[in-house]
Amino acid sequence: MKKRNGWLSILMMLTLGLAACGPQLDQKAAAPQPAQQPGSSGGSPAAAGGEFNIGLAISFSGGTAKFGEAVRRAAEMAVEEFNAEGGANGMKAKLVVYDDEAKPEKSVEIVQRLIQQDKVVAFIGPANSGNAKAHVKFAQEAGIPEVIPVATGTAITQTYANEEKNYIFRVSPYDRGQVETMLKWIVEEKKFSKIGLLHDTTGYGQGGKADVEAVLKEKYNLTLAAVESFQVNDTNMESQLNKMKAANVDVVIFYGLAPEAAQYLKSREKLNYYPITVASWAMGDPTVKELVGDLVNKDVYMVQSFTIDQSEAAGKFHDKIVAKFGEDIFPIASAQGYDCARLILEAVKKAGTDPKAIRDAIENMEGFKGVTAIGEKPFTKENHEALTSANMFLATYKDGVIVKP
Amino acid sequence: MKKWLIYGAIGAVLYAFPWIFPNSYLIHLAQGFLYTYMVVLGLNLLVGLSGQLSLGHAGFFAIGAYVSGLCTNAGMPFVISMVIGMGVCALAGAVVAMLSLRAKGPYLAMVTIAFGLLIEIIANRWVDVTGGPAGMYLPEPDLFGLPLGVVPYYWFICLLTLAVTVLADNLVTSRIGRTFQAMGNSEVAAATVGVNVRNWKVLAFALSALIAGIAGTLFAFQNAYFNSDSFTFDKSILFLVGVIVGGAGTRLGPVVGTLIIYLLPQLVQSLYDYHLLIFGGILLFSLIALPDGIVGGLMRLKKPTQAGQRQTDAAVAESDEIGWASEEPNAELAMEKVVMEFGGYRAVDDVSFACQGPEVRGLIGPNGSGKSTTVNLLTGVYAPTAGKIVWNGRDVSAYPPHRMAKVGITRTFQNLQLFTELTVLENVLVGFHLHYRTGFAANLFHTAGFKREEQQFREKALSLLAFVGMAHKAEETAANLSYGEQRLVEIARAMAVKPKLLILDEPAAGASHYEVEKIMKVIRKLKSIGISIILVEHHMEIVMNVCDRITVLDFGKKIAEGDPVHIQNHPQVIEAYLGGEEVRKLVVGT
Amino acid sequence: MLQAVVSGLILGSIYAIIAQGYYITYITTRTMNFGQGDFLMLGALLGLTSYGAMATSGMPTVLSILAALLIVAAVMSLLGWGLERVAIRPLQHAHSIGWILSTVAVSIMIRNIAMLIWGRNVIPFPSPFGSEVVRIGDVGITRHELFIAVCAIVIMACLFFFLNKSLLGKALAAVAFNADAASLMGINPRRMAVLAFALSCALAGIGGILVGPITNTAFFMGATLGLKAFAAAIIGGLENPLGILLGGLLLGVIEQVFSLYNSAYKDASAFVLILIVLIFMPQGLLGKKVKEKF
Repeated sequence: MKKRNGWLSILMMLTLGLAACGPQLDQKAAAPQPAQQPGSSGGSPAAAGGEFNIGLAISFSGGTAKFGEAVRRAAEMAVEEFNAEGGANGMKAKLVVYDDEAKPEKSVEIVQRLIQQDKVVAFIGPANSGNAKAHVKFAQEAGIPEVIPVATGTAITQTYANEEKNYIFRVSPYDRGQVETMLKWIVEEKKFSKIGLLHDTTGYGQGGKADVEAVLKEKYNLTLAAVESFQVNDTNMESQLNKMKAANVDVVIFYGLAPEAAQYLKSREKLNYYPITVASWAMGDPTVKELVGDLVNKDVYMVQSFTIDQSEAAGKFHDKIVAKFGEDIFPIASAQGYDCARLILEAVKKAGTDPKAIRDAIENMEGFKGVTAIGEKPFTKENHEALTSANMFLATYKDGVIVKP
Repeated sequence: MKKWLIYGAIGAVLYAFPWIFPNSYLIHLAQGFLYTYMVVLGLNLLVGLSGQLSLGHAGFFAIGAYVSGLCTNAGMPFVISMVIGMGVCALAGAVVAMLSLRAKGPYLAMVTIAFGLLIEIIANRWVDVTGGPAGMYLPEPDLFGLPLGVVPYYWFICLLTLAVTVLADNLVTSRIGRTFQAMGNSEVAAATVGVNVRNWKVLAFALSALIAGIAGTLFAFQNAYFNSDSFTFDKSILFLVGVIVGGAGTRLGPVVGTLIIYLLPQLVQSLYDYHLLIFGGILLFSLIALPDGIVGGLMRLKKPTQAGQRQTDAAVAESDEIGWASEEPNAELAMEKVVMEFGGYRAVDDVSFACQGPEVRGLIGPNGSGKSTTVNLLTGVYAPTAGKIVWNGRDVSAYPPHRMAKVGITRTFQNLQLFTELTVLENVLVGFHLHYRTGFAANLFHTAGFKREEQQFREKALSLLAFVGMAHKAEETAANLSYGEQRLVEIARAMAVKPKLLILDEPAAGASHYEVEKIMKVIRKLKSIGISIILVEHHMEIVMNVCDRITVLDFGKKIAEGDPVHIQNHPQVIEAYLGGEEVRKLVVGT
Repeated sequence: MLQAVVSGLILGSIYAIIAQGYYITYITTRTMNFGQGDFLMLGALLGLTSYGAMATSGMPTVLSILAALLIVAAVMSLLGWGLERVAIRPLQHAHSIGWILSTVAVSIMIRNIAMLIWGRNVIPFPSPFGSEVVRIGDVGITRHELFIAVCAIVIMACLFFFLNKSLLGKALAAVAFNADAASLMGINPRRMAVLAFALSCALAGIGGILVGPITNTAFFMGATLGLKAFAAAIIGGLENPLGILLGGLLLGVIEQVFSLYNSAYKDASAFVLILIVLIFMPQGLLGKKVKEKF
């Protein structure tokens, strides 16, 4: 009997609560919009001091840790430069950094934390596409702009493309664009039709696989001659390569990250089988060359949107990173991270610290000078990709240096 | 009553939380805390209570998430999907238990690890169904048409968490929980009082998996999106950390453990360069400083005062009644040419003997003569290599221990097998296993019938304890008793089975002189009730005084049988016991 | 096919070397280092650094390899000693599974420290023997893989000799058989436990050096290898070093051969194999069946 009373009371409380419409969440974040100058608690607003937060939610552990580290260094540098130049109306930026541990649920947590607790005006997004998919909902709903420096999963920026205001931007070569660039070369220029795909089983490789299959089907009405996969930390890809050989493919598309790309190149040598290989941008990671040396020189092509010598700005930026941190652990990720941070900071300079205004300012940004191949007007209402297939090109290694073929 | 006040208070706090902190991040954290707690709670049933091990609980969590997600996306209502997810999880738990029945220790760990990783791989690679790392989008959950936004969903989680907690608590404090714990403490002893250990392991796994399944569902629908990156081996380990650091087997442990594994990382989030170092350090420190977990450690600090308090309130006098009339003592046991071989070595070699009606049969022999093996054969712990064991006309050679108990044969153990974490009274209550009539549901909901029955058996157990003179220690934890006391409690526990044949395996070993007297007295009382007893013993004093007939084994063979006087003068027996006149004198002299 | 078998055998022999570490500590203390994989990672990184230092100081290759092996073995033994003192001994009396988690705790701390020291990047570990491919018929083997095969044979032989013939090894075995009796004979079981853990960690470290050039060396490389080695030990039977060797080789070959059939579910094949073995042989392939005595 007593128990039933307990249950009843709980149930009654619940229904009462529902009837009363429940508490209103996140009042402070949404309503009191004088968030123009949050944090300027002490000084008067006229003194134009104070601080605003921008967030960085990316992975610092696991397989994508290096991307996170590169982006963080670049973003830190961007923020320091911004503050040194006097900030926006004297307001200084502060970078709030959390590790998403390459786990989607963690990513959701820290993005909400950035938005609700740290009241960031905008934030720089993740390295893992799955994490982006998991958390973009919260950025969009809270109306906080997010600029993605690494994650390349095609769908991410499209999620809210039909909303009136899409808060998700990206400065990395999205997969579909990369795949289109690859296939254009393979099918249109080289006239290959027997195409093999070798991809990793993480979200990166599987996302790439979906894009390759879709583009092949839609654009060229082709199907893949062989599809093989491998796991992160695999020590060789001999079996997969042997199957490629058996399928007699003209070209192998490789979708995976640098360490596995190195294993792939080693296995090619071991089997004495060197199929023409076209890879995503990760093949251009300097780590690949460090790991396998000259093996990169044999018929390896990859999509690139950035080389250190592509422009004066890029070279200067690279030198600055090296001067500050001793090395540039991942030039393309550093450059993209830097542009992401710069986009946000420029927008703040123009529009103040209201997240919605920042979003508009990013979308309508003009005259932006980036260190990547990003255009002066990177985004439009329809296009939230700063790097499109127009900015991407197929490069190859020649004597260990990435060059246009 | 008090219990419901506490639950009510917790419920009220949980309910009010969104008003106190109207912040979606904090509510998100609260949601995560609650379902993580639920997994830890379920795992605690398995690890803390039943003594099993799972390093693959993320697998069940994943199954719950995927099954309910798939069902909802196929158009089923959220709640129905959740129930289906729970069912599939319970099934998966049962399957894992079946796969790992014979595996112990590290082997069991490996089975569960392999299961968890297989689920992770399937989730990641079977993209057409699971979405793999690209993930699965879900609709907003609803409760019979009522959409659950962030806050209502939080309340829904609260409600489920409370319900699961209450029910799990009910279970733990019922005979089900006791049986789990008994099984965890000593499988073989649980089996000899009639517990079908295999089925109970399956039940423990299934329950634990089911709870993980609920949590998995709640996780899946929390963000309306999830993908295969969430169900890693690390997560399984984290759940286990929650159980152990909180305090395995304790009721508050899961709450504290979840605080550590879920909220602690939030506090050090900005120290992302060091968070593994910090987490590892805290984990290591807490394991070393509090090996029984935080709650377990605190309880240990509290213990001494409690024990003193207990002794005073349960001072039942010793009695000669066991609380029920003994049934017709039709005990007819026959071993027919039984052989037991261990890798070529014959521990029992062609032994036949019969034992009829109410008698006390002594089974003696020097060390290594095969006495213990015989006992293990008679109670189903071993199955004979050849020969037959016949009980009341039935061939029971291949019966496992719990079936032996069912037909009326049980035992005590030479190397004590009490359920050390249970109290003395609870030990005896587990002994009543075969006589409980209430079902699972009654125990889950603590129905009136359950309470009546529990009360009944408590009284019976107390009278059994009074019978062996241990009623004054009824509330003591079994591990704290002396050897002799433990042996008495083992006898009481065995008596709870209401056996027709009771096998006492060296009941006086390790007991003090005073305790030996007590044990002898109890054996005599048992005899007077009319139970058949097989007594394995080294104390000749007891054997010669108590037994009606004695069977002597040497090197696995029967060398003599007869009444004590016959045995005392049997030349082969004297020879076997290191031969010579001195021994004979010693034996006869007593 | 032949290529897959050969590569599998080489990978499997590494699993086996690491797995022997589980065996040694399990028989002496009934516990294991669940963080063996991270100790392996540390061994690889330490070996890489010390070998690099030797090689650049102008030492001949063979000498610097030996020196690096010695340094790693010494440091890892020391760590093993520390591990036993910190994470095993305080928890042995609590008849719980605390030691699983305490060793995991130590290993994640090591992982974090390694990340801070060596960074988040994957570091190239050039084999001292070069990475030229030797071809025997259709089968390609790198010189380093040959080195691994030789090392595996030597290490196994040393280990078997140590365990079966040397006095210290016999003492270890005695503790394994019956700790109380052994201590009556003047063998200190605690010292043996320390020795077992030191040896086990040293094996992990050496395994790390061997495996470094064929995997990628980075702070996160350990977990998979440690788990696979544990699987190998379980398949073979934790209490039988020969069984472990067999389990390791079997696991390595099955993985490689299975990926010829279906590369996506390669990992799954290993775990399905474990489940099948354990259903029918709950003590592993060559594990002893023990009758518990009551």
